[in-house]
Amino acid sequence: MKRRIRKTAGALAMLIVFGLVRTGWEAGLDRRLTETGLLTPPPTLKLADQIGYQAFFAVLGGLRPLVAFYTTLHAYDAWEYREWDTVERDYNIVNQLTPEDEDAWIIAAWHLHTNAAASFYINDALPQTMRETVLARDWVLKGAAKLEEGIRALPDSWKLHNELARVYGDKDKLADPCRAAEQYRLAMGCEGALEFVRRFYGYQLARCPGKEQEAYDYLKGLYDEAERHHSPSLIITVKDLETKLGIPPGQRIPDPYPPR
Amino acid sequence: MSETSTTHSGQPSAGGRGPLRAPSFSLGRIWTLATSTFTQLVRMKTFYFLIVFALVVVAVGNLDLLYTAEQKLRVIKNTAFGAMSVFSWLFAIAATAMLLPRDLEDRTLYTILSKPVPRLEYLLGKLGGVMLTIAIALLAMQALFTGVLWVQEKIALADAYADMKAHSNFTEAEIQTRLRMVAEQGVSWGLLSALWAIFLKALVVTSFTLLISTFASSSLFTIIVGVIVFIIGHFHKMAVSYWSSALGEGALAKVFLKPVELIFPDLRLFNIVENIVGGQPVALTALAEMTGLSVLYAAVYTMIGLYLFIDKEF
Amino acid sequence: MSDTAAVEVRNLTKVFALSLRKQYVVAVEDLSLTVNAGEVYGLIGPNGSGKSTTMKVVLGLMAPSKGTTKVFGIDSGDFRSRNAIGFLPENPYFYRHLTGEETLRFYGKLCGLRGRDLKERAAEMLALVDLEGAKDRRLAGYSKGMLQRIGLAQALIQRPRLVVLDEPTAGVDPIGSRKIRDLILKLKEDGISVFLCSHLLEQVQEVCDRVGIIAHGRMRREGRLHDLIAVEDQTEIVLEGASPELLARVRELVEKEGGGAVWRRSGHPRTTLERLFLDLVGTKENEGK
Ligand SMILES: Nc1ncnc2c1ncn2[C@@H]1O[C@H](COP(=O)(O)OP(=O)(O)OP(=O)(O)O)[C@@H](O)[C@H]1O
Ligand SMILES: [Mg+2]
Repeated sequence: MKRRIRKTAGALAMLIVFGLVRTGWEAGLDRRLTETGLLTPPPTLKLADQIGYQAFFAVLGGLRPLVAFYTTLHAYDAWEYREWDTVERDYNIVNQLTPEDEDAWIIAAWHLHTNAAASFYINDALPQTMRETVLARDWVLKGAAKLEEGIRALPDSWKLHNELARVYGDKDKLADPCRAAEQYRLAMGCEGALEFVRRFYGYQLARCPGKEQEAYDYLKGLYDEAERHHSPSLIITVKDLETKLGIPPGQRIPDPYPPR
Repeated sequence: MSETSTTHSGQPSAGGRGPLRAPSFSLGRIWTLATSTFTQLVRMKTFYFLIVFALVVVAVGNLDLLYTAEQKLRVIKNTAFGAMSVFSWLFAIAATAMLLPRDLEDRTLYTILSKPVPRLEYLLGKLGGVMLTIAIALLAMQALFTGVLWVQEKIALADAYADMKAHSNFTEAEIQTRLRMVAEQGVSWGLLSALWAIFLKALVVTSFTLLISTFASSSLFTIIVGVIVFIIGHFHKMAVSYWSSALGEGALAKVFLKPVELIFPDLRLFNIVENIVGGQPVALTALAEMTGLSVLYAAVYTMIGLYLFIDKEF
Repeated sequence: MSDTAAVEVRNLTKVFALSLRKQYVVAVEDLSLTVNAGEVYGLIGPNGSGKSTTMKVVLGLMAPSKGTTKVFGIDSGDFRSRNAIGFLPENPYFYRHLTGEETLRFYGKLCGLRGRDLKERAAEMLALVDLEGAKDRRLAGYSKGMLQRIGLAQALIQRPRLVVLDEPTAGVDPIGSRKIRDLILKLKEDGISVFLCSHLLEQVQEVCDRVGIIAHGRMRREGRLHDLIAVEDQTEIVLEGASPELLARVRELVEKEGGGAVWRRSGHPRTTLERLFLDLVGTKENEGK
C-alpha cells in the first residue's frame, strides 16, 4: 500500500517535470504553427451553443472539416425544403468552421442573394411590394454581407471580390455599378484573377455615372492591347461610350456589328 | 510424450547457452513481441474496418452536391483523413487498453516474463505492436483513398478543362492556372505529411494508454481513463485561455489549471492535419519538430510506465 | 557447473499487503531451500502454503520482502537468470489466437532461438508432448490437458538447465500424468535440474530426489526422500508396548525361519510421504491463515 502511494506520487512528479520541460517548447511550437497557417486557433465556447457539444468536441479533436462537411449536407437538405433560415444558420457555422474555404463563402452567399431572394420574389402568396422591396432585397443584402465577411477572412481572394461585384452589378440585385466596378478593381489586384475580370471592371465603370471617360480610356486600352479582348460586350460598350462621349469618327474603332 | 521422441538434447550449458548469454537489450525480442501483438490484433479481425472505410470513401466520392471540382476533392480528402484519424484514436486506446490487462488476467504475462525478457522490452514490444498495426492500417487506407482521389482528380480535371474550353475566351494560361488549382486539391506529397501527423498523434495516444494500463487493473478502467486523458488533452489549452479571460488572471484559476496543463498532453497541436489536408504547405522543419515532440512523449510515457511496471508483482 | 546450486533460496520472506486496511498476509516466512544441480526437488504443501509464491520469487515475477533467491548463482532480480529456466505456471494460459506451433516459436524467439534451430526445436518439443497432430490448431480450441502439455513444451524450448513446474499434472489424465512423470525422469537423466510442486504425493515420491514440506509459508521438513520415508521393499511391523524380550524372540524367529528375510533394524517407525505430510500439516488446517 505504501508502495502504491509512493509510486503514484513518483509517477505524478515525473509527469509534472516533463510538463515543465515541454510546455515552453509547445507554446512556441503552437505559435509558429498558427503563424504558418497550419494550426487553426481553438474555437470559442459560443460555437458549442451553435453546433452542440458533440460536434464541438469533434472540432476540438481535429475533425473541423468533417463537422463543416456534415453541416453542409444539413444545409443542402434545408435548401431542398426552402428553409432559408436554416440554410443561413448552417452556412454561418460552415463559414465559421472553415473560413479558409472560399467556395463555401461563395455558395453560402449564392444561397442567400440568389436562391432565397428568388424564392421570395416569386412567392405569390405574399403581397407584391413586400416580396420585391422588402424580403427579396433583404436576402440579397444578406448575401452581399456574407461576401464582405468572406473577404475579411480571405482578402486576397479574387473570386470573392468577383462574386460581390456581380451582386452589385446585377440590375435585379443591388444595381450599383460604381461599387461593382470597385470590387472588380480589387479582384484584378488579386493573384490568379482571370482576365475577364479586367473587362468586367470596364463594363461596370462605363455604367457608373461620371466615369464614362475613364471607362472609355480603360476599355480602349484593352481593345488595343490584344485581339482576345475583342469580345462582343467590349465592342458594344466601347461603341456606346464613343457615341456618348462624341469621339471623332476617325478615332472610333471599327464596328463589326453595323446597325442595319 | 511419446517414448520414442524424448530426445531432450539439452546437456547443461550445451551449445554455449550459458545463463549470461542473453543480451541485456535485444531488438529481436522486441520485434518478436511486436509482431505477436500485431498477429493478435489482426486475428481479432480489426481490419474489417478497412471495408467500412472503403465504402465511405467511395460513397463520398460519388456524392453529387453543389461542389466545384476543388471542393469535391476536398470533401473526399477530409472524409478520408477524418475516418483515418478516428480509426487511429479508437484503435490506439481500445487495442492498447486490452493488451496488458489481458496478459495479466490470463497470466500469459508469467510465461513471457519468465523467459529472459526485460520488462522494458515487454512494454516496447506492446507499443511497437500497436504502432505496427496502426501503421499498416493507415498505409492501407491511404493507398485505398489515394486511388479514389486520383480517379476523381482526373475526372475533375477533365471536367474543368472541357468547361473552360466551352467558353472560348479563356487564355491557355488561365486554363492552366485553373487546372493547377484543381490539381492542388488532388493527390500530393503533402498528404503523406498529414498521414505522418496522424501516426504521430496515435503514437502519443498509444503510449499514454500503455502507461495507464501499467497501473490499471482492467481494460475497462484503462479505456475510460484513456478517453478522459484524450479529451482533456484537446481541451485544456482552450479552457486555460477561456477561464483566464473570463475570470481574469485569477490566482485560483491558475492554481487549478496549471497542474492540468503540466500533467496532460497537448493533443491539440496535432490538429495541423486538418490544414495540411486542406492544402496548406508544411515545412519539413515543422514536421521534424512534431516528430521530435511525439517521440519525446512516447519515450517519457514509456519510462514512467516502466517505473510503475518494473516492480509490479503478479 | 555442478558446484553452484540450481536454485538457492535463503531466508525468504514474502509479505502481501492487502488493500486499504493495514492487513498483511505472510505468504512465505524465513524459507530456505536448495535445489542442487541435476536433482529433482519437490515442494509439497497444502493449498495456500506459499509454494507458487516461492516459485514466482525464484522466477523474478515478485521481489522478496526479505532474503535472497538465486538461480545458478545469479540473483532472480536479474532477468538473465531466466535464460536458464523453463517455467510452467499453474493453470497456464497462452495466447489463444496462436496455434500450438506458433506458440512454441514465439517463446523460442524470446529466448533467442532463430531459424532452423528454432524450427527443429519446436518440432522436437511438439513431438515430445504428443501435440504434433494439433500443432496447427489455435490454442483457443485446446483442452486443459493439451494446454498443460503445450506449457511444458514451451518451458523446455530453449533447453533450460532448470525446469520449474508448478503443479505439472494438474488437470491431466492418469496416462498423461504418467507421461509427465517419465519426462521428468528423462530430464533428470539429461542432467537437468527440476524444481516442482505438486499435490500428487505418489508422484512426488516417484520422481523426487529431495522434497521440502511447507505449511503456512514455513519449511516444516526438508531432506532426501530416502531419509524422510521408508524404503519400499522393506516391511515395518509396528508394535506398541512390546517388551525387549518379545522383540528378541521375534528377531530370533526371523533369523531361524525367515526364508532369506533379513532383520534390518528395530526402532521407531518411518512413514510414507503421505503420512509424513499429513502428520506435519494436519488434515484440517488447510487454507492459509
Ligand atoms: N498477489 C497476492 N496478493 C495477496 N495475497 C497473495 C497473493 N498471492 C498469493 N497470496 C497469498 O499467499 C498465500 C500463498 O499463496 P500461494 O499461491 O503461494 O499458495 P500455494 O501453495 O501455491 O497454493 P495452491 O496449492 O493452492 O496453489 C495465500 O494465502 C495467498 O492468499
Ligand atoms: Mg500454487
